[in-house]
Amino acid sequence: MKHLLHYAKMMAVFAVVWIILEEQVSLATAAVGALIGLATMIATDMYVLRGDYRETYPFGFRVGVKYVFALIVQIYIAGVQALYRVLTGGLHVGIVDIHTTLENEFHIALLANSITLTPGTVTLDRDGKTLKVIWIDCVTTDPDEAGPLIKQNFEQLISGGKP
Amino acid sequence: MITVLIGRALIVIGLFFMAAGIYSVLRFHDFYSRVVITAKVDTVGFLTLIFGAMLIEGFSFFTLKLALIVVFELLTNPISTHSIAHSAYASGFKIRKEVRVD
Amino acid sequence: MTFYHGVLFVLALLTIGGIIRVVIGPTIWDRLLGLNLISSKIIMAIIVFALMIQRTFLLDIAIVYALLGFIGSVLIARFIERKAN
Repeated sequence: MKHLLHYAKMMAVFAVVWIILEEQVSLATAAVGALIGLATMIATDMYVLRGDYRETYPFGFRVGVKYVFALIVQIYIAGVQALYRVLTGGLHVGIVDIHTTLENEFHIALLANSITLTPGTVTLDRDGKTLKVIWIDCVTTDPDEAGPLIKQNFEQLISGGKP
Repeated sequence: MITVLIGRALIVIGLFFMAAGIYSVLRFHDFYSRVVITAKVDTVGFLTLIFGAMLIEGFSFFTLKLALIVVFELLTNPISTHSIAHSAYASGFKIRKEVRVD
Repeated sequence: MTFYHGVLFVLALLTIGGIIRVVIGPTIWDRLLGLNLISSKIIMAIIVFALMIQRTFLLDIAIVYALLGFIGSVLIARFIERKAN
C-alpha cells in the first residue's frame, strides 16, 4: 500500500514536469505525463536498480524543497568567498578525509554533491563511509576536526531533521 | 518596469561572476585549484543570470522552464566536476605547489 | 545595439577564454574542464537569446544541450581514467 502511495506521489511530480515541458494545462497532458512517469519507474525498477525504487531513493518532497533553498544560500556564500580568493590569490590546497554518519547510498551521494557546491571543497573519492575531499583552505588534515567544518549542517537536512 | 531593471542588473552581476571563472581557469597553475574555484564561481554566475531572466519574464511557462533548468543544473554540475576531479586523481595527479612561484 | 546584444557579445568573449584553455591546457583534464565551462556558456547564450526573441522552444534546446554536455563530460572522464596523461 505504501508502495503504491509513493508511486502516486512520484507520478504527480512527473505530470507537473510534463505539463511544464508541453506548455499547456489540461487533463490529457497531465494523464500522459503520469503514464510516462509510471512507465519510466517500472522500467527503472526492472532493469536498472538492484533494490526497490522507494528504498533506493528515500527522499521526501518537503525535505527536497528545504534542501534546495539551503543549498542555494550556501552556493552564494561559496561564490563570494571563491571570488575573494581569485582576486587575492591566497590558495592553500590540500586533500583531507572526512567521515559521514549517513547510511543510505543516495543520501551519501547527495552529501557529496553538497560538499562539491559549498565553500572551497570538491569531493574526490569515496570508500564506504569515508569521503576524500580537496580543500582549498587546508588548515588541518585531521578527519575529526575537518568534518564539521566541511559538512556544516547538510547531514541533518538530507536525512530529514533527524540527526 | 522596476523588475526589468533589477533583472538586467542581476544578469550583469552573473556575467561578472562568469568572467571571474574564466579568469581563474586561465590564471591558476595547479589543476586542483582550477577545479575547485571554477566549479563554484561558474555555478554562481549561472544561477544569478537565470534568476535575472526569471525576474524579467514574470510568471509564465518561460519562468517554469527556467526553474526546471536550475534544478537540473544543481543536480548535474557537481557530478560532472566530481567526475573530472576523480578521473584526474585516480590517474595519479599530485598537487603541485607551484602556485607560489615567487 | 540593445542590452541583450551586449550580453551575447560578452558571452562570446568568455567562450573564447574557455577555448584558449582548451587549446593550451597541458593535460587532458584541463581541456575537459575548459569544455565544461564552454558548454555552460553556450547554455547561457541560448537562454539570453530566448529572452531576446521571446520564444520558449529555445529553452527545450537549452535543456537538451545541458543533458548532452553532462553525459558527454562524465563519459569522457570515465573513459580516460587511468589511461591518458
